[in-house]
Amino acid sequence: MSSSSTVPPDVAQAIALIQAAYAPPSSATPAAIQAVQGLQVQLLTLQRTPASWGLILPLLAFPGDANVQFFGAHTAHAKIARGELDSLTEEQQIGLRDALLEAAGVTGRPRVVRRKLYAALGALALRLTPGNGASEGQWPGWVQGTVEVLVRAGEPSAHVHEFLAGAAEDVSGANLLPQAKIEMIDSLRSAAQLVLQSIGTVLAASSSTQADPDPAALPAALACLTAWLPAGILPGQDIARLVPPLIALLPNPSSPTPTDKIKSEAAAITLCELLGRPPAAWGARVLLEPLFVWTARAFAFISPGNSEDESLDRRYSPHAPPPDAARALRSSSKLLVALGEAGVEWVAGSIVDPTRVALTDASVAGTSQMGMEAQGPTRGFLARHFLRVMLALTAVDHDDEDEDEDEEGDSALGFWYLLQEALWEIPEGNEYEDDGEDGEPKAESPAQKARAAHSTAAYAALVRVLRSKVVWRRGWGKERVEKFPAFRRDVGDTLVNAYYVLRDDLLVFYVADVQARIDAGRGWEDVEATLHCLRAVHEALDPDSAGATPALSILFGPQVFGRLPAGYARVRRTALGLVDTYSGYFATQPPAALGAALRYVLGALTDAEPGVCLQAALALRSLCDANRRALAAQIGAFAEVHAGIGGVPDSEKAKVLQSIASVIQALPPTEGIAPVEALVGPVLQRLGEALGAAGMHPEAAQQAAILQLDMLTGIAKGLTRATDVMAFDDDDGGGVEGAAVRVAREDQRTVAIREALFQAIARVAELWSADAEVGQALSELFRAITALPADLTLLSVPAQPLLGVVCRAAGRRLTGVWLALATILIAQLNPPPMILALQAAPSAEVEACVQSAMGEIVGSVLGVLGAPGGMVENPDIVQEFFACLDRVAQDFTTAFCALPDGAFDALMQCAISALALQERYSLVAACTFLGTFIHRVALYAPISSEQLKPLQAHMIRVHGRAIMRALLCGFAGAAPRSVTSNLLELLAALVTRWDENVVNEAEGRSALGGGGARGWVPSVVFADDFYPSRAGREAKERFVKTVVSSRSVKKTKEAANQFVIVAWGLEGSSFGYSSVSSG
Amino acid sequence: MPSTFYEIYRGSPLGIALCDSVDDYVRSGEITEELGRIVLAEFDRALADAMANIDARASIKGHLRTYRNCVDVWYFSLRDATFKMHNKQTVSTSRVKIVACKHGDAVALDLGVDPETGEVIPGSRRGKRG
Repeated sequence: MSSSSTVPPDVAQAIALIQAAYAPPSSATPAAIQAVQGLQVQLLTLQRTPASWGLILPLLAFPGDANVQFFGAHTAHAKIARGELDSLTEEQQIGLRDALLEAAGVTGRPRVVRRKLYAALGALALRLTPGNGASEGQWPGWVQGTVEVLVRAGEPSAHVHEFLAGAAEDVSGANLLPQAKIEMIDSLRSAAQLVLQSIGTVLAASSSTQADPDPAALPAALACLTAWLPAGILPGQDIARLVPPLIALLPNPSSPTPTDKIKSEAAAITLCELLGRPPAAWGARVLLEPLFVWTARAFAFISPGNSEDESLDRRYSPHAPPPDAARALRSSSKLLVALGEAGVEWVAGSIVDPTRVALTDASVAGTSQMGMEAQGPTRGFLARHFLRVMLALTAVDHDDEDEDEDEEGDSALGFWYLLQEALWEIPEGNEYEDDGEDGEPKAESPAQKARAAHSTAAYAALVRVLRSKVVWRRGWGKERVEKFPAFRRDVGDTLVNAYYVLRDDLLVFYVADVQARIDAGRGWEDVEATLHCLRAVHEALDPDSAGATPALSILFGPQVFGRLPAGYARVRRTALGLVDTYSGYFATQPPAALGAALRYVLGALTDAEPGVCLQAALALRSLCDANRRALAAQIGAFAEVHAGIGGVPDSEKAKVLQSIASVIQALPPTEGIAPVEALVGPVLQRLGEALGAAGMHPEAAQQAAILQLDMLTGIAKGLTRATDVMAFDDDDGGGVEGAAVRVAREDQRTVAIREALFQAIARVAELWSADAEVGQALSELFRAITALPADLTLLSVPAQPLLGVVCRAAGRRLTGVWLALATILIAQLNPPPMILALQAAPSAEVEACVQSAMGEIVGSVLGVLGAPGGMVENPDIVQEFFACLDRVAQDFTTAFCALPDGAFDALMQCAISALALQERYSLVAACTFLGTFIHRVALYAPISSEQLKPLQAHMIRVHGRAIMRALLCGFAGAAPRSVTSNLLELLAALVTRWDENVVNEAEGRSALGGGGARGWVPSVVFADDFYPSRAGREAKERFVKTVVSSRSVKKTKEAANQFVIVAWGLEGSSFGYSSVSSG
Repeated sequence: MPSTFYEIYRGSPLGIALCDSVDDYVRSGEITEELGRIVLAEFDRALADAMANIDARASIKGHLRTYRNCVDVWYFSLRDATFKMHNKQTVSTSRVKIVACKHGDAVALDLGVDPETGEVIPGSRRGKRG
């Protein structure tokens, strides 16, 4: 190695720069940080110069400074990976290869330098090894050659395996052309035997000697094996030979010889990899069965004695194992979980299999001293023992472990989900093909019965284990507390799988459990945990059969719900959540069954704990919604609830009012008038007070108004009928029930309520038109009080006057909320019928209303968007505006004809400008509107010769070419590539709707020719001011030719798509196709 | 380099915005196509990881029109579906397509085919839910 005194000046300068850049910072001041960043920029600039090739070897040879050597290796790697190798001649490339190999052969380098050098060699091989078609590459046998150099230099096997692992990773991660990829994989394949032999040698040495001279050798060799597995080029039968020595390295508490922890962990990781991606054609005998045998031996203490003679229930213990056993389970949990995942089908299929496992080398190796019986255990024994091990692993308490291990322990839950599925998927010998003549399925075989008995016993133990795992414990750390809800959810998922095996037995067990704990006065935490388990399995219950389950009537009766521990917020929340979840169950029961649950919920409504109160309000809402008719009989009791609403926190009042309203909805409509009056009257009164106080206390008044609006929304939602729209009668009026509602709406009291409601809304919109929060609250209210005819309620307000309110508010202060509301209301004015053929044209009155609204909205919006930067700065307004126009174009196309002079042209120019916006939602909305508008106008123009036909002609004459130009500029790159599909739809609308006849007629030409909208394409694309792109004349001609000559929309779209790729400069690149996203 | 993770999230608003940004950088020559691909592949990986760790839940009720399963990717087409979120909020839609797949790193494995022989790899099922 050369010393620093003899190095050339440029190298010395580079070394000084590196040392300065990598030196520990003297201070953390901005100036010091900036200085270091400046040095790093200088280094990167230096690295990019051609002269930096000459720095690589001197830097690598610089003694004593790992940073300098690392930068030398890094420079080589970076320049090769960046494709700068082409700047060297072939001889120089070979010279670089030999020099890097020589540098790699220098022993004693720091690990970071060594690994970077190996990476540089790998990158070089990726470029030199593949040949050029007929000729061979410049570095055949690069793997073997490099290994030879390293071995000759005396590098330890760990370093050689580090290189080999990196080689496999580099090749698998490289972005190569298919032929080059094949050649690189071939180069790895030619080294496969060398790799296997090398790993096998290290493995054999590790198994045979206690004192290993190089402790890093085995982990490196196994990491190398793991790196080569995904490539799939190591022969499966050769890897299989490595399995016995790997299993022999695993920990075995029964073994008299202590296990080396580092070795056993490395072996376990490798076996996990093999379990996750076993080579093709490996049967269970190669890996699974030997590992199940290991499990049976290593965890023999899980079932001490001859547990096979015990009853089924006792064989599967629901208790946590003792500390020593728990520690052993935790240390092997990753491998056990991986074995469970990979072998779950084997376990499910083998539970009662009497076949003995043939003891292969793998299962015997290293365990001969453990007294293994000569003929081997049965598969059934191994499978059942594994179930017990997994139960014990699931039950392990992780309180005293760190978080990582905790997560590993929890992942055992996944096994039970997989096992349940595997149990269901076991073929039963075509039992259904052998059905008797009466169609009855064949009786269960003894084996099926035995398997069912074992799986039932195992899952019965599991539900006991899981119940104990979800018990809340005082004194947990913050992190544990935060993770607990997610853990409980995962346990809940597993309980669902357990339910599929145990069915009603699970409910019976848990209900009996909670009852017994209440009887015994056990801790509230245990009661709460059982309630949580019952809640978790609800989603698996069949709603039809759940009603007949006696356990549930006990649960929600006085035996349990009437005696739940009081004073504990967590119990109350869970119990209320349980009622909420099971609210539909009560609909299948006599009304009296609701009693205990309803009393519990009502009692919690005024609870001081906010979480309890919220859960109570949610539960009440669900109960009332699902049991309207049953509760309507007790409407008097709900009057009392309403009278006491003052004690309910403000945040929950809307939910309580919604609950009461949903019960009122079940009354005959005329009987519901008075209760509705009683509900709405006070709210409107308080809203009026808030409006009156707005001048004095604006903030408090605004908050009070929002609260009252939320309550009105809740009442309106509650009054809406059942949510299943498919359950309505065929006619649009909602049948007999709908007719009764319409009669009740004529009552003077309801007319007065609606009038007061409308006036209040109009005043709120006038006063707080610029307030986003109020706008949102009004938006929710509008959705609740405007409805299709079939959904009409006593409170429903017609859309027309509300549209006027919205337009006036938008005129005062334009926001996206008002435009979105206008869209909803316009849609309500022309509601779709249940049967499309019955669609009637909107009335003249409605048409006039929409025309007026359009004029106001377009005027307001163009005033804002027409200002400089208006469209870019208000993307929400642009999006909602075009969405609103799209609605009008669909339902009230002629409304555009009534726009004031100049407004239509300004509107079209606005839409055309929007086609070049970079904010995609604005652009997509504009694109969608233009497409809809062109389609609708063209569709109705033939029957609207006085309005839409002249409008279409005007559009074609004045705006046609501008739309086409904006569209084509969008393809060329003015618009983001993600909106290509939207632009394609607009192009399709243009070329199909504005054909030759339509355009010639619009432009007053009688002769044929011109090509319609297609004919505009050449003049736009070849114009000097067309959007500058990578598309040359040839590409443009190809595109234009297809668009002009093709009559197929599909081909036109394909040509446009290809043009986009070319215009973005991505032709011939996989990136252009792989990155394109759907619009 | 083809991504070893599902690319489905590139169609999300976040993915679309990223694709558009990467497109711009590649077009202007600020980054190479290779780097662009790496960024998108990293996005695929990160989204797959993030989605696997989401705790939020929703239950869906609707009329199942069609469903299919191809290499462990499930497609469900629903009509008149209602999503009930964990916070009790409900969202209704007339049509929705649901694509469900396992955690992203299962893609390469769960293609389930040996790259050399074309044979189905036994035990390629990982069983992760995502």
